[in-house]
Amino acid sequence: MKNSILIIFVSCVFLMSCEEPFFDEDPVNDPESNFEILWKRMDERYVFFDYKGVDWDSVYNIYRPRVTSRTGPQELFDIMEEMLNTLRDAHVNLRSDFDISFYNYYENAPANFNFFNLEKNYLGNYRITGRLINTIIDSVGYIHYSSFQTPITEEDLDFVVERFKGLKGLVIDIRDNEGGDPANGYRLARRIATERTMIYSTVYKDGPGPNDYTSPLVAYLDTNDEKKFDLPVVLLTNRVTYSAGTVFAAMMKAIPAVTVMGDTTGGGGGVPLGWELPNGWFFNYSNSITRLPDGFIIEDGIPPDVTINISEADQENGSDTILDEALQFLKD
Amino acid sequence: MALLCLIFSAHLKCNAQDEVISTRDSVLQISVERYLTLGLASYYMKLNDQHVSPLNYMGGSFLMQFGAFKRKKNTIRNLTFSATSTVLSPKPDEREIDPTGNYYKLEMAYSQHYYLRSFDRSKYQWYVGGKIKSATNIRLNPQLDGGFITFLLANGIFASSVIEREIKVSSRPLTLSWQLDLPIVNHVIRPSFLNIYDFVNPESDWVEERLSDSGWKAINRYSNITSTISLLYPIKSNNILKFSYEWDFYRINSGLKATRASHTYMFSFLFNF
Repeated sequence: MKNSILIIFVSCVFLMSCEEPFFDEDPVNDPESNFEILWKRMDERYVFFDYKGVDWDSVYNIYRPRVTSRTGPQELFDIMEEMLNTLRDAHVNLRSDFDISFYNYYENAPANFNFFNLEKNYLGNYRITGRLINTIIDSVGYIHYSSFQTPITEEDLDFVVERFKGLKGLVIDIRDNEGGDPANGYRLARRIATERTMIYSTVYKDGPGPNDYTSPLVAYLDTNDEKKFDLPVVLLTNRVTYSAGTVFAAMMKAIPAVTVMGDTTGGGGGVPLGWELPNGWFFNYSNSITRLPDGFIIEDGIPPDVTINISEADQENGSDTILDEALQFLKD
Repeated sequence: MALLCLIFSAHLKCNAQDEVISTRDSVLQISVERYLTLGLASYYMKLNDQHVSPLNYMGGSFLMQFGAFKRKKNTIRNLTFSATSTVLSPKPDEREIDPTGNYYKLEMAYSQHYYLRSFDRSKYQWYVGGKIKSATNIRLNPQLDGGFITFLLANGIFASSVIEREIKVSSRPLTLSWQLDLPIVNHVIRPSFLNIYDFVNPESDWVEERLSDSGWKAINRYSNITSTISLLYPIKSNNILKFSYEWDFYRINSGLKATRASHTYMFSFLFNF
């Protein structure tokens, strides 16, 4: 009996300890180690170094000497933020307990959107169907979708399609829409597409090597049996339009009945993926490259078919010249 | 390797079974016995998943298990369903943020063992057989956006072996056993490049994409080893109390590797029916 109990005890202890060689040690949690791990992960997994012309090794040589074992958390965060912002990618951000780093992709662009002016001078007595602000302006249907984070349903779209029947055209306004879930955009786009259309293809980085990518995954926008708008469409974009907003603009570009007006979207065409640092901070980085059928990479935004900016004078007058142009285009 | 062991063991069984069976019966005196099992365990695990973090995560909680156990003269059959939910966190350190994640595990296993031979003057009885296991492991990391969910779904066949011996405590016969399971082949589903589905594709089919991420893996690619030490203690009405310790380990080596080890200390009732 004693021997048996001894066997049990030894086996338990042995098995509890024998797994340790199979686990990597936790990386050291000090400023230098955290910096190194962030840099290396980006080096192995970030996808737009070549596209953006960023020499990541040179970036290392600039920022690494600024980090020492005595670098404090806020200083380390600032150095890391500065380093990450060399990538000019708002899908790359670092999150700590006291700050979130963010690259301002629309800093130098004209605003090209003022909801206060829009509401006061154009929208009239508008409806809010689900999350879709919708109204009729001079026999043209108008939808403003402010964020793809807020879901829209087929029932919402049924209502708006019925409301806009027989009109001259449709304006879909995604200015200042900073993204969210692209699935909401698919629902809306399917109400406009009349045939199955190739919209773009995407490759994902699936390994640490510079050429470790999946084969291109081709995406199609298919039509469905739901009610269609069946109208010519103008899509309004500005520089704040980002991420899922850019993806939506990309798929709308592929539909012949759609004209894109306004400013180039902000971009954000890479799908963000998250990881952690030993100090508990976590960060996102772009993990995919999406190309239009002609090979154009959407990371820096979708250029409009018709470029229009709202001048400061028009802004002060309460005019939305982008919307004015869209309404005129559809009425003609 | 595991398959070869199984074949070799089966060959030994054919040669050895007839001559030892009478000796074994005198030791265990087994007829057909059926039990429903209900167990509660203390569960502790350690996980390293390079998909989401360089850190090792650890956590403990309770594990529930129920199933059926059947024993005949030459065979042992065991069916179990178990589930646990654990909050994981890295080893305490002077971190700026203490990250956590939730881990869920569901498992179904069925094993069947056949008597092979006895040794050491019939003190030890050796059974060999196989096991099928379906394991679902899901980890949620809400702080990681695109890394929100990682998972490992594994359905596989294992070679399995049990060594038993009877021991006496206060003249009451207890059964001490050790079971070892080695994988032959597993069908494993795990995200290959991204923890979320390809959501920039309007026609992305989550199930289809997961199946395209899947593959059959032998022990070198998916090393899932389980070792269980059990002590069966007979009580009134032919029921049994069972104390067991299970060490379950896996490591997947395709793409971003993941390693997990768990320790389960279980107390079970086996209700005879």
